[in-house]
Amino acid sequence: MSDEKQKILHLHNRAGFGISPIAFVKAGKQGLKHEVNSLMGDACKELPIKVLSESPFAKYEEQMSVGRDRSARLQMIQKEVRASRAKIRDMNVLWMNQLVDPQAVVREKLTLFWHDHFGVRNLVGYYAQEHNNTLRKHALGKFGDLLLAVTKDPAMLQFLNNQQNVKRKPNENFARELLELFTLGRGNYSEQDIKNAARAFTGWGYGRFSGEFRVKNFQHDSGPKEFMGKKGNLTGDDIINALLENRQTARFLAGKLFLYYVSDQEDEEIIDLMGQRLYKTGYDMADLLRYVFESDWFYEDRFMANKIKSPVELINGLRTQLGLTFGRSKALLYLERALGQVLFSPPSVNGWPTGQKWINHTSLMDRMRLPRVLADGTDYMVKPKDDGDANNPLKGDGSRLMQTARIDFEAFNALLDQGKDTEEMIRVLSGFLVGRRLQSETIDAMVEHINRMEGVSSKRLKWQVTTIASLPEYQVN
Amino acid sequence: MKNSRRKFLKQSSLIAAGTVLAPYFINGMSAPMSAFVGKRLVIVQLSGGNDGLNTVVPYSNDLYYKARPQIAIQPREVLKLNDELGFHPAMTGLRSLYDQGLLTVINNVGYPNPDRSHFRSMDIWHTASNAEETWKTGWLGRYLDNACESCQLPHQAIEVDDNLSLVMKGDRLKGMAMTAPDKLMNNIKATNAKDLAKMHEANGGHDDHNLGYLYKTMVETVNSSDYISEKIKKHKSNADYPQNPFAAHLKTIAELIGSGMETSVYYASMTGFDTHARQKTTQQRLLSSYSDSISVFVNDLKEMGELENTVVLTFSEFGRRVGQNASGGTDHGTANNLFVMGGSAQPGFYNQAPDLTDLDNGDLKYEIDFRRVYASLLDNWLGVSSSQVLQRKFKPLNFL
Repeated sequence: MSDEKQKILHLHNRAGFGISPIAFVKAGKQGLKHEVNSLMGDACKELPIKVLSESPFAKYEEQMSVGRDRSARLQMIQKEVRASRAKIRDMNVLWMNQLVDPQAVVREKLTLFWHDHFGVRNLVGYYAQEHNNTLRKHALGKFGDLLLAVTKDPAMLQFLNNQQNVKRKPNENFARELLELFTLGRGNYSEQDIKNAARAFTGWGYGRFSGEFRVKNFQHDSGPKEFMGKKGNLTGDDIINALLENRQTARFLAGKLFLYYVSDQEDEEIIDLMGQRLYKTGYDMADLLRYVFESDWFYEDRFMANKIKSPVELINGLRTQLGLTFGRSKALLYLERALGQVLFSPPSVNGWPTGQKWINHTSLMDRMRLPRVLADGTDYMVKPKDDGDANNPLKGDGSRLMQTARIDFEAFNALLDQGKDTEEMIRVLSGFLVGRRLQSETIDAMVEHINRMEGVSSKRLKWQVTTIASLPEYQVN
Repeated sequence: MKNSRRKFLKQSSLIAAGTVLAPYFINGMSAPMSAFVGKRLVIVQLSGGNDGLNTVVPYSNDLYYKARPQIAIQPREVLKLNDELGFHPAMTGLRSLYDQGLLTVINNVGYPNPDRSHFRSMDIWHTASNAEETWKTGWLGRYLDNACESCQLPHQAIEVDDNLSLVMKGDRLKGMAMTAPDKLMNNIKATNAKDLAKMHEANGGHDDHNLGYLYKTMVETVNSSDYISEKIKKHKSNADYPQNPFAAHLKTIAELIGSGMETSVYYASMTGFDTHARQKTTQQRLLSSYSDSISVFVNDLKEMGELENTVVLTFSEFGRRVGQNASGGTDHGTANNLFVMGGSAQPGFYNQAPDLTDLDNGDLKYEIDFRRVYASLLDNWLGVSSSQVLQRKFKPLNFL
């Protein structure tokens, strides 16, 4: 594979979830820069998710006795939460499909980054959906717009208790996470900053029936505050502006984006460059992605084929590279649970693990077994972790769901010249699937196995692809 | 602290931490180095927030009956242990352990600013952080990190589950998750892991940061599974375990213990305790299952002569509110009791019953910080510095 083709592969692996064999053959004919333009121009479509059309609580407004009856309100919420579960599963499947849509993949993968960054989990379907759409809408825009929009999301207002943040009794939960996790990062602010920020956000909530953002003025503390050099009757908007003016925010974001797009191991110099770029452009995300994808350092050897895939990256990588499809969409949800990453359910506001933390002795075996299970239809037998929550469905080992899997092995013929020997075939396939040369002992063992195989060449091709996808090498890209 | 660790190290430092460990069977080495010092800990997690008040029932307290007109356990049903407290009627097995002097009950265990979210509170119990902190490593993982600098193999701590919980993940080391050794062997066979492990050594390893880690993990898994299957052939339990998944996991643990595995920590969980509705029937079923299974397990250990070397701790991520709700159940609460069996634990009730006159907005107040229980187990049982592992000083209790 030429150097240029290798870079094209790397670009697709990081900007999205890889590329199909047939698309790969066609890709890159006009060079790397053109490929970047193509991705930034044609793979960023915005597809809002519309499983639910309005706040579910609107219909209760007339029934509620002035909304003062707490237990009636709780029952209302509990009822909607139960009804939401199936809806959120539908949203999950929709999003998984958008993540592998070539016209939307770049925006969708970045949306996933923001989903992890803000770590919001909301059990009311409509709020979860609208939050997801907020992330999608602003994903490639200016981070300031995204941050303000997310701050005003009912999902966020509820999740981090800003709905309960009032003048008389401020609740610092949102302000704390805003500084610690969303902008500056730990150690770059004081407890006093948190207190003042919390006061600035008092009264910011949402109508419990309309599900829309509103400022309850009588709950808002409009007294004088001081925050990072700004003084006055600061509001939430002022806090956010102050945070954006602080270069540390750009640096912190750059660090997280580096881990997501470039490498599991931090390179401080590159992160500095990214942070400066972000700050200079007013936190323009589309510009930053383009900047990363067009930089020489992005294509250095040390960064290629060296980042551990998250479960969603692994699943969507198989769907993109191997043309994996399922007869039952529930199989996607089962796999998310089995591998430990469920969309719309980040484990905490801290988001998901990264890098090596995804890998332990059992999870590695489960990941290595997966391609053969999908190809051969054998039992997977992973029982997803049960958190004891009475509200969790999707128990059981999902073997029947997995058996509806189909892989497009034929598509790999597009990569292979006829008449090439076995060893060359392995090189081509492994170059495409795992972005590197396999160790010679591994290649030798594979050649030996293939030479002993009987039957048609398609059987050998299937074996090769499945075997390569089952190597530890497939866990990075 | 460094001295006490050295005291427990069993072998010389042939293998530096951080290099890929050659499979011991290839190099002809004897059993791998471990953190095992002859004492074991078995942790049982009840997921969902078990209702402590209906488990250890304050049957002579009128406030209990006032708060739970439909779901309180009636005095005549309670398995009375003393004047104030008794067990839920389903827990005959636990009652028998109590009578044999094999059970300690610690009441009112919790932590400041309790969180009533399942995953937050469980994370807090797993990481031993304060309520407002989010830590990324578990206390048992950090125990592994601290207990043995040169230990490489993951079977020092085994979680009987398909997925590894946060509690078992340290900074450097982590435990091993597996539901059954033979299943792990099958999983390994269903991949090329064994062949790759041999080839990997022939290749001299991988330099890449991540690929090296992946191969290292794979090699450890292959090595551990060989060691485990070799050992487990030696012991099969004859005890009559009930037919349920939790009992099956306990049986696996008993067999691993009986076969002389050099494993210090085992972890098992039972789920379904989130009784927002229909609590009476659900708890009857769950506590019955728990009690029957754990009593067979404890007696099995006793028969093997291993109970004095093994402490079994049972906990849940929170208790439940004192007052019942409108659906025949209870909602998420705070402080709870926990059970300790085996080892040198002093039997009986460690402290007083919950005070139902002094509640925090309808919730029980904690008296003992759960980190003190962990500190007791670390300092006084496993012999590792609790302040290192828990990253703060907590005064151990004296029940061990």
